[in-house]
Amino acid sequence: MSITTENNEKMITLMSSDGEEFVVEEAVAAQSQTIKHLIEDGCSTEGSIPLPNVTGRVLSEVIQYCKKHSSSDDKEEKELEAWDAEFVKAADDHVALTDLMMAANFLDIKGLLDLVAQTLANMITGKSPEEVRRMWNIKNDFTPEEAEKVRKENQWAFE
Amino acid sequence: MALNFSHRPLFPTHISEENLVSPMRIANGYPFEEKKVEDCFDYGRDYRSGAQESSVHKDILDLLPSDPFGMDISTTFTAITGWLEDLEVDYGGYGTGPVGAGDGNYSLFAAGLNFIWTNAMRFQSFPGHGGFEHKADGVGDTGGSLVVEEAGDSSGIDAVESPSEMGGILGTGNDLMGDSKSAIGPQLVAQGECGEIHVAPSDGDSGALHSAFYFSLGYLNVRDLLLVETVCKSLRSSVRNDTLLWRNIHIDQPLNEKITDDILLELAERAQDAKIFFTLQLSVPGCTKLSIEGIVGSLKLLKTMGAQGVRQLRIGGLYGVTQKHFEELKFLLGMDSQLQQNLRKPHVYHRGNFYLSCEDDRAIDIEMCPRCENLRLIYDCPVENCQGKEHPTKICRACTLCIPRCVQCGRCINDSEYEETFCLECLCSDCLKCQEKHEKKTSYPESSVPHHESCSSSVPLHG
Repeated sequence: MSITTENNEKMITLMSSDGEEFVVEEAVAAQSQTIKHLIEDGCSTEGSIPLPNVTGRVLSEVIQYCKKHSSSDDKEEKELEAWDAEFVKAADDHVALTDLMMAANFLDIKGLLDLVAQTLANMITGKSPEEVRRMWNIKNDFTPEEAEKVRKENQWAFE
Repeated sequence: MALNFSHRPLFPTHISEENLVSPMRIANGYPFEEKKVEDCFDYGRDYRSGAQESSVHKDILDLLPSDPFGMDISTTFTAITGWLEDLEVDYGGYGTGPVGAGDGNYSLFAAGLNFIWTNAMRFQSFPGHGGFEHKADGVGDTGGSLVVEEAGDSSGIDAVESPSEMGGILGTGNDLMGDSKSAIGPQLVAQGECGEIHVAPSDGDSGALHSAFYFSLGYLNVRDLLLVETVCKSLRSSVRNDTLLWRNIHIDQPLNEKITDDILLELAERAQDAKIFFTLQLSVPGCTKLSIEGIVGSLKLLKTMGAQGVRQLRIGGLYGVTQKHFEELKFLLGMDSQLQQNLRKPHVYHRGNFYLSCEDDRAIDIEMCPRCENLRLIYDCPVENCQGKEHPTKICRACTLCIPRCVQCGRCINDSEYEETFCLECLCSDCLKCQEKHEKKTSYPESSVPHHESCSSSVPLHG
């Protein structure tokens, strides 16, 4: 439902996959290119915008991010950076970050996608292959011969 | 029970016993023969997609015993209903709304199945479209067993954790409407029309975790890319074949002391294999084991591909660059030397800025020193009147051997007081005072890093 507040700011209702509804200002929702296009195409005029692959938990985080970034154009960049750092820290582990990233991808929020991808990349940095496998639940499908070949190839970098 | 509907298990880890929706439960209230269950779903599909009653319907109805195993059928229905309610909770609005709850022509049991089927269809139209994407005949021919699989799998997972690519979903919803319009709620129709279709690389067998992983690859440095290569086969091929990842080869700590000519050539081959059509960036400053011949060789290799080749090269303090090498490099980089001179921004020497960054437009970081005529990194002076315009020959611009510079602020120290540090770096008197002042203020040793910053920040670093 598109309601307007006293500031004459149009409100948009977003519905998560688990049926939770979030009422946000249009400017906040429009941080997501996907939602922005939906709004432009008139999809928000009646009822809420369903986001079938974003859960309420993730959506609330995403909205938090969008709120911060839509309101702080004039704020100092450094402050925003610090806020971003805290934001991804709060996401806690790579599973939560993954959820966030998939949502950012689906909703097409470039800033958030960059932020989370960089954070995930930082989590990979300096890990051993085994640690990466464990962390991301990846199966080592190299045969022993292949593994040896691969190891030798890249050995120079890790000595 | 031989009900193996999962021809292609999509979500092996996520399905809990409780959520294994269709096959098991339905089978409880129905003959255990796979064929018949499938028929049932076919029947459901036909009904839902608005087809007229076909002979199949009647056959099934005729075949259906009212209570084949002498079970209390109403109990079974309670179970099914309860389970449908669970689904509705999980999926918000998508499981609700008008459903094919049967009309008078059908038996209660058939109506129940119909209800299940409709819900199954709704699921897959949103989160679980992976099967359709990867099966050649998926969209066109929604066979009964495939659909059962989808329904079962979808219900076992959280919508967001679906391995299907988030981006493509709206688009697939749109596709699906072609043959199942009546079953898809109005919201989906609206979305299918308005939604933007994103296409992201998809790996059918990997979960969302993997997708996220692939996204992050672009943010890794060369060392971590090499590490990721050794994790598993699919990552290895992704890393090796992703053109964008090898577009900019920046070798920095700790690889710069390890990389050799052979390895550089290997990396260059990789960029070559990736058939790069972009401008390449090769940044190897401080790579002590590289030779200029090796770099020229790698550049040549990349040039021969008919691609653009390397457009930006950073070799830093590489020794042994002769005029001949330099000419060759200029040719390989496709450089216009005139342009190079004109667009040059001042490069000031100071700690952390010894090498020319890739953000600078210059194609190559070295040039001929105006004084000694060696090919080296050339620095400008941050002190304004040093860049005298009247006497171009006396311009304070040269390599660090010709004009020693302060390691903090980069100013020339030819005529002024300076001190040589323990590392044989020079400090001008101003920076020295600044440093001493700071050391007095904070006497504990941890401050050594911040003081450096605060000191250098007081001096204009970039011309």
